[in-house]
Amino acid sequence: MTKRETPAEVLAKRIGNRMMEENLLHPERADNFLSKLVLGKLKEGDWRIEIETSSKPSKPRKK
Amino acid sequence: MKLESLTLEALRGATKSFELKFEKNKSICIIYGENASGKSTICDALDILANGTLGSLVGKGLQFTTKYWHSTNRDPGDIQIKLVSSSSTWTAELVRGKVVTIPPDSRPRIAILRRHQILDLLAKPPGAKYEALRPFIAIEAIDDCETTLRKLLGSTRKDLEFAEAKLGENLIALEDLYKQAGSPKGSIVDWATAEAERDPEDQNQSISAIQNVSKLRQSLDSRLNDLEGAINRLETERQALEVAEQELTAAVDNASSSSEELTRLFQAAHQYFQINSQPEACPLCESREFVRSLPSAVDQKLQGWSVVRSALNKKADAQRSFEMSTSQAQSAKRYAVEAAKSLFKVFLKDWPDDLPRADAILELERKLSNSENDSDWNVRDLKLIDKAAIQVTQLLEPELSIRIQRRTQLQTVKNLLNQYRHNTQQQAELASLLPRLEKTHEILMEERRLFVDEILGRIAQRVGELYEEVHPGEGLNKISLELDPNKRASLDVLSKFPGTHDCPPGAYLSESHLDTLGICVFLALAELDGSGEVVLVLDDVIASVDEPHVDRIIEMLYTISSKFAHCVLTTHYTPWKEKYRWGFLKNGECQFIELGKWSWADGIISLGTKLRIERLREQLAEPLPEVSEVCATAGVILEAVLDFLTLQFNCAVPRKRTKPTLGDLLPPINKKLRQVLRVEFYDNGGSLSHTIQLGPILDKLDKLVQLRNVMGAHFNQLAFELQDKDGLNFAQLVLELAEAIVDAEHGWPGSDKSGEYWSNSGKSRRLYPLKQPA
Repeated sequence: MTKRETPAEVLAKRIGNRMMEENLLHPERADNFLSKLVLGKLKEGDWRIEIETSSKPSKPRKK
Repeated sequence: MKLESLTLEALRGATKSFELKFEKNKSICIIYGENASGKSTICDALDILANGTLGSLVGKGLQFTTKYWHSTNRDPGDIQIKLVSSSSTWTAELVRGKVVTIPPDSRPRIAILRRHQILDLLAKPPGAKYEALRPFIAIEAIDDCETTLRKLLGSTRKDLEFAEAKLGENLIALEDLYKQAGSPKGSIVDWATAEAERDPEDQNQSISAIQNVSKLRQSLDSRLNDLEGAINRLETERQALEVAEQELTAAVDNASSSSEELTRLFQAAHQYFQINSQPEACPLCESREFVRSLPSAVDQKLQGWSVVRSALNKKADAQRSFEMSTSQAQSAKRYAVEAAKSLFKVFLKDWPDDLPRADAILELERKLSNSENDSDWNVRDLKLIDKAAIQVTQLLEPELSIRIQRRTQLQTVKNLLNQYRHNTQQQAELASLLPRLEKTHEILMEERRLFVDEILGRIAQRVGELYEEVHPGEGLNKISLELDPNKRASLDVLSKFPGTHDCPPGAYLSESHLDTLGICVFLALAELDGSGEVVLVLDDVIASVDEPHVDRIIEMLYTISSKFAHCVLTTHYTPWKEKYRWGFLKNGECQFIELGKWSWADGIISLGTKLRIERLREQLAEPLPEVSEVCATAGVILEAVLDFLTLQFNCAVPRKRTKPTLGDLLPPINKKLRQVLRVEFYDNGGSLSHTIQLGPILDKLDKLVQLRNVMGAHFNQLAFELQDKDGLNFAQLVLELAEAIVDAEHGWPGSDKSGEYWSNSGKSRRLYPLKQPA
């Protein structure tokens, strides 16, 4: 049985997708960002880090 | 999840322990009771469990309501609430004025609407309307994040302005220095960069050399002073020694004839003359000549020898002082030479190229560089070096000032350039960040508005649908909930009336219609969750709805109850109770609880409410039934059944003048109809179990129906002549007829949707035919 999404989760997902489309959120950081957004725990510093890191290239994955 | 039981102890009207048991498989529980019977206490208990509040006291001007929560014969600490459901058990207590629930991290989800809240969503100001709606939209967490983003946006704008201002200040300061430097070729920043790259060590070496010369010169000055002092002291000591030697020579000359042995002799004589102060003759030669002056002569001799001793001591002291001064003078000279040597070394070997060389240094070089040994330097040489040092120091004084100023300037340029670069970087970063933050904020606001608008649109549509069910065709199915674009968290409820658009419902609706609309808004909101886990509680909310619409509201509540875990409805609306007792409600889905009159001694009392048919069955089952009462009950039921049948089959009953009697109702069910009138019984699986023909029962009732009037309607002496068994037989036939038609669970067969027969809501009975035979 899949868990029903709360209104906050639905809205957070839409915001996350728009931000990724506009290169304002790095896809690798999206999960962490969305979980904080849903819980209302994004502080000013968190917003800044997300936006600043959104334009940086992703780290190469370790093999 | 289904509710199983609710237990109250010492809460408000529950002066005694009260337990409400919910019937299994019935999703609606209607609690009927007159005013002050305890209905709201039951809702309060659910409110405390779910929300930690007691809603019935809200808005009554009471600041702290918890002190009024307990029953007046009990203490606040006695309050105990326990709710048992099929999935969990919750309890609540009041501990020091605070609600403590177990489990602490999970509460039942209960949506409660009370009468006084109905109009909140319609009549309050837009801000308050949005506040009432906010918990249902449930995006506060994202609102919080939006607030922090907005703060960041504000602080970034300020930081950017600050960085730009600082950058301007840095440039002005650099420009000043640039102009002071004579505005060399190239830009200010190029010049500053070149300046900042200069090695401050260059200046430091010269400054250090100048300061070193000054320090060494001071040291040489000091040493030379010491040396001069030492030389002066040596001269003084030398002269003192010569004086002491001369005094010694004179003293020795005075006492030259004396010897030590003589001194001892004179000392002995002196002691002798102390005892014999007036001798008659010399004790040695016995001569009487000069004998009177002999003691004083001895004293004079002894005194001459004492001067020599004193002179000897003085000379020895002078000798020691002279030798010490000699040593001190030598040390002072050595120190002075060392100081001079250091200076000489700086002058001749360590002199920085960029410092001017004084003439005195050249002269010094010429005079002293040939000395094989610097220990040969005399005071004059040392003074020569000191003199040269004084000249050099005077010469270098402005040089030192220039170099220190230059070093400070270089450092200032370097600092300013660093600040300029830092602020440039800061400004660039902020200028890049700001539009991205603005875009993010724009996305957040857009998506939130879109999302809320979607929800509001869904709610509005659902409100319209629900309202249409209650007031079909009244043209108010166009409800809109609109956020004020110019204000945050501000909601307007608007509706369309014929000839008007977007006006508040309160402008044209009656209070009853507004109540219905308020209930519809609440139900639409409560439905939003959609998880089926919410318990819906409506506390006496249909009191003001007018009679024709109550049935529709009740029907609507039945319809939407499937979307909730359980529905608890309280009411003091009497027709609801009567409809239940006659089986007109969907009794199969509904539990009906009647509350008795509340008293301080007994608290809330729950009574079972029986169906009329059930009551008749019980009366007949008594060992010695009261026939008049049984006939009365049976007569009322028969009226209801015949009324139903004659209406279903359009029988010709005179209804216009007065309410039809049994005599009006029974004959119109004619022979043809009676021949085909039957009820089929179906089990849960939909299989036909048996059939009852109604014609024979009605035929028998034709003969006994008068008994109702004689035995169960009025005081009539004719009844004395009749046998009880006839009355009981009449009642038994009515019970058979009623039980055949009315299902205690699924009510009356009032639906003709099949097109062939009449069916009840549970499809457990089929009444044939659909129409009266021609």
